[in-house]
Amino acid sequence: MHIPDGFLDTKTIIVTNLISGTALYVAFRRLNRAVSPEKVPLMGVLASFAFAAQLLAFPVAAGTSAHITGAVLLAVILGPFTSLVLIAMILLLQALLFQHGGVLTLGANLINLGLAGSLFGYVVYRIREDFLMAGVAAFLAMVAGGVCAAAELTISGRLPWKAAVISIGTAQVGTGLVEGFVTVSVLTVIQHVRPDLLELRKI
Amino acid sequence: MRHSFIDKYSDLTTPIHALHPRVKLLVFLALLFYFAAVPITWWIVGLNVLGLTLGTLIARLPFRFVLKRMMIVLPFLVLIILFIPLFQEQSWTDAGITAARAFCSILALILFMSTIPFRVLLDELSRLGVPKFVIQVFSFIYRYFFVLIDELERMELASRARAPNRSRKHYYTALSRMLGMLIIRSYERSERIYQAMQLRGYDWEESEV
Repeated sequence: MHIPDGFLDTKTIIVTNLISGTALYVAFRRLNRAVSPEKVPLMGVLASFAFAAQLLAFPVAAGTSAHITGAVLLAVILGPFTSLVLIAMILLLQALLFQHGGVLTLGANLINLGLAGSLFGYVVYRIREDFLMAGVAAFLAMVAGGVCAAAELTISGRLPWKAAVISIGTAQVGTGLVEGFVTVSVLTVIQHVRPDLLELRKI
Repeated sequence: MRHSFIDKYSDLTTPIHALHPRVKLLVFLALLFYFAAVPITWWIVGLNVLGLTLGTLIARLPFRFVLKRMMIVLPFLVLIILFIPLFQEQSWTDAGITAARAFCSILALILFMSTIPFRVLLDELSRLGVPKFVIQVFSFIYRYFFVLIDELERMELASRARAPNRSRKHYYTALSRMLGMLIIRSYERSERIYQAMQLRGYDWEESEV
């Protein structure tokens, strides 16, 4: 759910950007303490990966398709704060290059995808650290993100709460199933081919 | 394979392309805030649309290109319009104003991004104090995004050549495996890139983007 510019009102824009800005600041502090030069190519290439992966359309039903965000996937491999920073960068690029999402709504979209995916999803995953739980976390993160998006649109006075939750929530259940499935299978592939990638330091 | 969706029109020579990047950036941000915050009436909307359309004409952006890009806000608009008859809280005017805000914002975004090369934008952001780490990662994305898309396309082509008619379940599995392989290849690529950069004397402290 990438909310474009124009769909949120001023107060929602300010509040969501403040929340996301704070989260990003904390994430950057964590990364800076642990960052080393070889992290730049790694993060650059993995961000491009997530960016490219988002272009892959998974057919869902009746001609609609979903694309994955990979927030939980990146969080499981690289850690929640790295994932959050990567998602933020991808969101900015998507807004600028494809007009997918918006510039002033970046804060709101980072809440829906980054905070819900990278942070909340990672917390869920930590309950029991196996692939199945990662899939469940990815599913829950997408639904939570949808609920956040619905709340943002309601607070902005654009949609009534019930309508927003029902419509966006239903859409996100479908997307969440795809996201969960993909997360589990990608982790399984990595486990088979390069299990050491799952042992990276998580920040 | 050719990918031209970034910087497709950003190297033209028109008055708008020639503007200083910082001026363009500031005007663009100011416009976005204006579209989001200022209470608008119909004739202001008309004026805005006229101004932005004039901008795209001066910048010589093809009409179809701009129109196609603008359509991405449609699902959200449909969502809002769909619920007007069901709930009495919203009115057609509200929906119209939301649509106007959205279309003006996205038009400004298209106009801005199509008249500034990505590289120039990064330079400008770096001069405005955006951390070097961020700029460097962006440069990497800009460089390797295309490489990875090519890789993904090759993998998909290969998989379709091996098994042309697949059921949806198999298609899902294949796509997910492909993503798994892509992430591993990306990781290995980043290791090779770092080694190559070191070999060429890469120094994080002194490096330029």
